[in-house]
Amino acid sequence: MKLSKLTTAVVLGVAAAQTHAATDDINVSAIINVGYTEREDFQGIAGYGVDDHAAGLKNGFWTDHTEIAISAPIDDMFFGKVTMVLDEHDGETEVELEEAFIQTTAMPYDLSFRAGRFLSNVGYLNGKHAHTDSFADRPLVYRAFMNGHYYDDGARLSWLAPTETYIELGTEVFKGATMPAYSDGEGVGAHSLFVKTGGDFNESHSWQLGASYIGFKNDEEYCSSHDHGEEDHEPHALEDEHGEAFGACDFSGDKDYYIVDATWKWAPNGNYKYQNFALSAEYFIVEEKGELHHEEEHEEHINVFDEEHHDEIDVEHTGFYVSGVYQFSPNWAAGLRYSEIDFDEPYSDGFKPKVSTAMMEYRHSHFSTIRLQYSQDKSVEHFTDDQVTLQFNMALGAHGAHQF
Amino acid sequence: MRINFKQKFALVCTALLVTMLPAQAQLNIFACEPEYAALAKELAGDDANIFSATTAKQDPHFVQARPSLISKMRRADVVICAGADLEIGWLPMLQMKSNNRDVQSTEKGLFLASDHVENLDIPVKVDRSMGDVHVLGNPHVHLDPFRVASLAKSFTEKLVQLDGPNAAVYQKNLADFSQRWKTATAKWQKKAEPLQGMKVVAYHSSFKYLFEFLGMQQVGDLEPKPGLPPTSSHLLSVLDIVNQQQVKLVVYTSYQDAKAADWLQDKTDIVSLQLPYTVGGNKQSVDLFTMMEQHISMLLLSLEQK
Repeated sequence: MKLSKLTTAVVLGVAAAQTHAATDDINVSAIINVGYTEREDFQGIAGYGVDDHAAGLKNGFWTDHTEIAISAPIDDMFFGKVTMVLDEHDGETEVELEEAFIQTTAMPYDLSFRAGRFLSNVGYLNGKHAHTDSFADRPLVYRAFMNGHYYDDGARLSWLAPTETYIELGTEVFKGATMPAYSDGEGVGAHSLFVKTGGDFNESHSWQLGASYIGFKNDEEYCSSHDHGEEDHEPHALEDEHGEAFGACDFSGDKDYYIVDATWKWAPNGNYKYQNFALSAEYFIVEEKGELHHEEEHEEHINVFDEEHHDEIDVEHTGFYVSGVYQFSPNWAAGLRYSEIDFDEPYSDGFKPKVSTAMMEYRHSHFSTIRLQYSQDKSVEHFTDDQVTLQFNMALGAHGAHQF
Repeated sequence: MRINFKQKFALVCTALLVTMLPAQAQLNIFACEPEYAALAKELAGDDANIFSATTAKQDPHFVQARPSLISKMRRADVVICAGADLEIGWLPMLQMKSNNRDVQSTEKGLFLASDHVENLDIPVKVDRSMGDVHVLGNPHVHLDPFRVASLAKSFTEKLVQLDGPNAAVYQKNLADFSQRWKTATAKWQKKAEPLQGMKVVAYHSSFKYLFEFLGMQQVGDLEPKPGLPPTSSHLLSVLDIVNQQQVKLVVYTSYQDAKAADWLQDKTDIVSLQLPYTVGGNKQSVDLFTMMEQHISMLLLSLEQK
């Protein structure tokens, strides 16, 4: 019911947009992202609490992150974009408003301001739409720490330095109510700082570096486990070896992320059509200071009861991924990716979750990609999951420009 | 001949006037393609800082919105591009990320060539099954000298609009360029007479405007559909066209793959020819004039080959 109303709204919206398309620059696009995955059920990422979004692709047939986007200049000062994402969770189609923002195009002093709901620009992948990724799912480190990607209601101010080398500075404030943030949503629950720089080594080689910080004030009381009703599904956390397991919402306190990212792209003579290679890596340091909630089972005489604990913690996790993608003809590309996380206690006592991924894709045109992906997933101890995915990722309508 | 006082006086006055003309502001011009950097150079003069985002070796459809281009666009006073969605994959991203309010719309510092001339190949009906078709028509407008002449006028108007104090300089540059271009165009037309009616196969619709100017006829395309790379089954159908219509020539640009054209050359007595397409496309093409001369002389030369 919820969906059919929305579908009608979207269809009407698209129809309305099309009548204007000739005169205004309204871009309407849809990304169809469907596929089939053969894997075991998701069992969490070590003992670290994550919600369903961090699971990656579903077993069997799936329609994941199928999106509809409408964007256009509003006037000579503002640009606007709305992106709706349709996801399937436990047999129910969920509609997420992933983006609804306005951005200035005519601010003085090389400033730019964005407000509304949008993807945070920290790190390299987070600000990008998943359908522009070279793999069917986000790397493990993004799934564990960013719930795939972090978007929220907020505002961003960024400034481009007047230098020959590209240097962009930016800061964001967010409500803090979508995972991995969970604060009361009243006021500022997350804030970020980022700097991005880049340039060309020569005609064939280009680079980009970034350093970001994002901090969340999390309170388990307000954890809503992303936007969809958290009561439907349990936050995932596998009981690990020493019996500890934490849900996605068991932490209260400050969560600080420090992210560095590096990207290098190569194409002979800078001609990306026939051949190109892209190497990118991101490294995360995540600090958690606060209280961790857990329940301990106690037996006293014949009674078994759960005792609630709030343990003080001050921990530091790290994680990274490296990916390389080589497009060796206009039609074909292949890529490798490795991602690993080193959780601090009490989430892990030394086990490092890791996923190795290989993919091969065929692009019939600029708009259609068919991808075969294999992942060796070691997210939980003593278990290796061989995951095979066939993905169809296709774009209808306006071609959006892609970030570097 | 003796120079009298009156003439001397006039000379000195002219010299003074020229030096007193306001010094040309250092306009920063961001050109999406080398042909528009060359046009800007003719019209904005030597003092302008002109930057070309792409080279003749790069397919302008597939450029990356690289960090270096963002910082270049940040400082641009004028952005000149082919338009008609040729740069749709990267130009909007650069505009958005450059935070430069002067180059966001064509009312200000953005100049899209295709907006100022009549475009060929405007489809009556468009859907993606036709390939990467441009709704606004073929954007490769720089290869028709008549269109270039009118683009020169329109772009000068843009320069005058943005840099009024130097209007006289721009008008003078335009007058000078137009005169030389007109003479050259007449010469090219005469020289290219033997090419009239010649049938040709090309890669993409890159040379459509050149063929129109020269009275040539593109009867086949190495691409099955715009933007899709040649396939073997499609090439077989091109082979049929070549044999049936007695086509003698297949052309491609400096950024397109020679393989398909060479394959056709091996199968038939067709000549495979890489044309410069834009300024810098071969050694001799150093500006718009030499680029056009190269196109015509290379095509004429191919007639003698066989």
